[in-house]
Amino acid sequence: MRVWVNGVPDDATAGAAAGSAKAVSDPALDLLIEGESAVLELRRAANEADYLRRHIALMRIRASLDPARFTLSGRRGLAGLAGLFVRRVAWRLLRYQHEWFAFHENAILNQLAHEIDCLHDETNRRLDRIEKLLSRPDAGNGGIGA
Amino acid sequence: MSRPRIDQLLAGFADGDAISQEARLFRDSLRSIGVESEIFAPPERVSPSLAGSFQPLDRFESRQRDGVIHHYSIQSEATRLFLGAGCRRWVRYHNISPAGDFDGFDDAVAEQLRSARAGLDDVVRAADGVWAASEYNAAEVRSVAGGKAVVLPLAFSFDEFMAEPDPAALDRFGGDAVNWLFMGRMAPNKCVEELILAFAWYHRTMNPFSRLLLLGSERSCPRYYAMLKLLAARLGLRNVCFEGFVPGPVRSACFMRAHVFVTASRHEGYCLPIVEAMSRNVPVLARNAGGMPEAMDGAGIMFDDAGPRELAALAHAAAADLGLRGRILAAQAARMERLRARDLNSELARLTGLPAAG
Repeated sequence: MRVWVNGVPDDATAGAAAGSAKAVSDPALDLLIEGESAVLELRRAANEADYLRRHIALMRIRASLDPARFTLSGRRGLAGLAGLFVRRVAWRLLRYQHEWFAFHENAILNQLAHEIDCLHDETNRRLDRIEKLLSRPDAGNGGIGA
Repeated sequence: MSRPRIDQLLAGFADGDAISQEARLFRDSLRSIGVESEIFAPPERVSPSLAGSFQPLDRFESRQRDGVIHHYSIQSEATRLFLGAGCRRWVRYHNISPAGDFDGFDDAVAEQLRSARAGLDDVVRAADGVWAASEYNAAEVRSVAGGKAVVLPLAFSFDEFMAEPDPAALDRFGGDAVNWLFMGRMAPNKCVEELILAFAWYHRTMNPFSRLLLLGSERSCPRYYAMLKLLAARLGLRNVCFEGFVPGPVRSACFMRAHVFVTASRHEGYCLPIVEAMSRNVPVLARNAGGMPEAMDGAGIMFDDAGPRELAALAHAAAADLGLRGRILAAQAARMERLRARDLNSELARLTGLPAAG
């Protein structure tokens, strides 16, 4: 990494930032980013049809809510800790309600993902049929009289 | 004797758009030096709020005027009219985004950008002069069509930056959280996903009391915007705030609450939001790419070859290291003083060969 501060190369600031970057560690985030690399791969789509194909594939892989992944964080200090405790208790008390909502939400999301997937497949099949028709030798006559 | 007339041709005319803002300033400046001037743009690409301040392209008639300025960054009907105009012609070159960045996100825009790149030679050769928004842009024009281009830095008004902040937005983004701010078109060349990844590291390992504010219309490139939202959602980043296009007062509030302005853009002709951040005393952290070093002009922090963790550490330093922050803000204030000394009327009068009034 190179850094310029106020237009001048600044190795000290670059070194300090590189040192801080090396010092931080979050294996769970590393895994998470690696697992979601397919999202960034959307940048590699060659055209809009390819983008749609990749996007639908992403939907197919995961279109659901998982309340177990929800984390609660608190503010600094004693008041923050107390607030966090209260929210954790409330979250546990409402656990079954969260799961009920997630179950129904997931049912809807999965239906939608399935419908979009089917529509996409159907559209592709229709396009294939049209392309085949157009590529027939008599296509120039509108497919008539051959 | 009738007054001289110089009009402008634009591919679009929108609120919050740097090119449109500059076109308005050009028009006002030309009028102030005694020149009649109008902005011509396709009505379907004009913000409703600007309905009264432009003329439709189909009313453009080149024989009725002495000169025309075409703001060029994409191929459009305005370009065709410019090439056919029978008067003096100047190109205002704002640079052309890399078409490849838009493949898959918006194939039609990618095609327009390719056409613009292919047509740059014709446009430059047809022009009596090329005014590039930065030396970076001028060098690109010279590489295509020789030594015609002169640098006229992007024009803007400090008044546009000074709206009263919206109290609700001030309240919403206040508190003790550190705010990263990015503002600009949400387009693939801006590499906003790199900011999101850097923010993920910052938020999870350096400061959980933090937000990333993203200001910019989703209409620029909806599929790219969708990708960004998907990425933030899948990384569980609830504090990435996609605000879309925001009016002046909300923008003011966001800048007031920002601790650092960050951009990882890889292609910019100039980058006006950098100047706006500096004018509002927010430290700027930007990639050393395109016309951005000229917009920064020796102030702020620039980086190159930084991964997400390194970018997070740099933003952390810009927001929290008081010594570094003080040095940056002092240099940015000096940069703003240099910009305030600018006299657009004289610059336009010199470039068009007109006598400056007053």
